Parts: sequence; C-alpha cells; structure tokens
Amino acid sequence: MFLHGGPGYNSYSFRRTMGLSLEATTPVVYMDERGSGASERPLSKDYTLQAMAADVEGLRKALGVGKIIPLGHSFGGAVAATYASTFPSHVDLLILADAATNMPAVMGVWMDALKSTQPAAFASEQSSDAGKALAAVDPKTPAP
Amino acid sequence: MSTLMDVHRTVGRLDRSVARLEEGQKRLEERQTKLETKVELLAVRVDSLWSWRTKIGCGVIAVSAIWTLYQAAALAASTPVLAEQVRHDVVVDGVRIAYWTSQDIKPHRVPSRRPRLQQL
Repeated sequence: MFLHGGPGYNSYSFRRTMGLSLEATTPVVYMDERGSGASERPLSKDYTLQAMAADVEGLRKALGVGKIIPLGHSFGGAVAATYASTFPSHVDLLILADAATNMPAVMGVWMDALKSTQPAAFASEQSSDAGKALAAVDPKTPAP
Repeated sequence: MSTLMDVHRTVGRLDRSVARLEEGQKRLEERQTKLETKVELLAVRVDSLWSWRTKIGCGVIAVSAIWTLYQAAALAASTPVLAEQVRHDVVVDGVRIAYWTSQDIKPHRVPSRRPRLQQL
C-alpha cells in the first residue's frame, strides 16, 4: 500500500510511474491520505498521524487483507511507521522511501529555515492557522 | 543608279547586322565559357566536400541515428503499458478515503451509497 508524501500531496505521480512497474510483481493499492488528493477533508480537522494510520487500517479491513506492506514515501513514511507501530500484527514488511519519520523534528528544521530565510513572511504568518499549528509543534517530540 | 545605291545601303545594313550578331554570339560564347567554368568550380567544390572527413561524419551521424532509434524502440518495448487503475472509496471514521488499485484487485467491501460529504 503506497502512502504518498506531502503532507497534502497525492498518489497520482507514483501511481502512473513507479507503481506500474510494481504492479507487474505484486498487487498495489494507492491511498490518498485524508485531506489530500481525492480524499475528503475531515470535519474534525484531525490530521494526526494516528488518524491517518487508522485510515490505513480501515482501508486494510475494507480490502479484506490480513497483512499489508506499507510503502511510505517522504511524509508517507511517517504514516507508514505510525501504522506499523500501531498495528504491527497487520504489517508484513515496512518500506520507507526517503521517509520523514520524525515529523516534529522535520517541522522544527523547516521552521528554523523559514525564520532565517524568510523572516518577514514567517512573522506575518504567525497569526494564521498554519502558523499557530507550526508554533505548536515541539521538535523534541519523539518519533513514533 | 538609285537602285544600286539602295542595294549598297541594304548590303551595308546586313553587314552591320551580321557584325552585331557575331558580336552577340561571341558574348554568348564568353558567357557560356564563364558558366562552364563556374560549373566546373562548383563540381570541384562539391567533390572536395565529399571528402573522407565528410564520409566519416555522415557515418557517425548515421550510426548515432540508428543507435538512438534502437534505444527508443527498446525503451518503448520495456515501458509497461499504462494499466487500468480503478478508483474506489472507503469511509473510515466518517471520512471518505479515495484509493486506487490495479485492475486485478477487487475490494472486499465497497460502500453501497455515497458517503456523507465532508465540509470543505
């Protein structure tokens, strides 16, 4: 099961490129994460990794598959790792491709980079929802 | 007497005409000679262009073109045909999640009705 990066991207590009080669050897499922691509945005605005891992689990159940192989690219790696740690009995293998498994640390690095390179834009975004969400991220939060 | 004079004048005009024609013919021959010289020079140039360097260059270009065509054909043969990927939806915790599968995967359970739309 392919989990795309972003967050906020979609599975299209992988689906139409590397996915075609993968499909020659194994069944592949491409999921658009909640709030991304063709999937809906949740009313609850719950975009936590746990919620996304629960989406993966819901899809696994819907497919009627006992075990899956999450293939997480970039941010999808964080979702895949969260899923593997939450539902280890349903994971056959875990594939992380250029994965950002420690998202809080990654967000911290992004924030530092934004502060230093775009200080005015960073300051102006502090009052926005995105700015508040970024400010709430604790880089010291352990990885899942 | 006047008739003889007319004949002389006529002969004189004919002589001048013949002289002009000969002069014109001479110019034409000169021009022809020049053109022939130019054609010969051009032939020499074309001949010099078709030197061994040119032949090698054309050979390299031909081999490159054939190699490129071969590579393109090999790439086209190895590229998988775009599979028919089917989109499905599943509702998890009230959120409609879209996913795609290759055609040979059939979802175990598909929502029978359109799920409640989430507020965008």
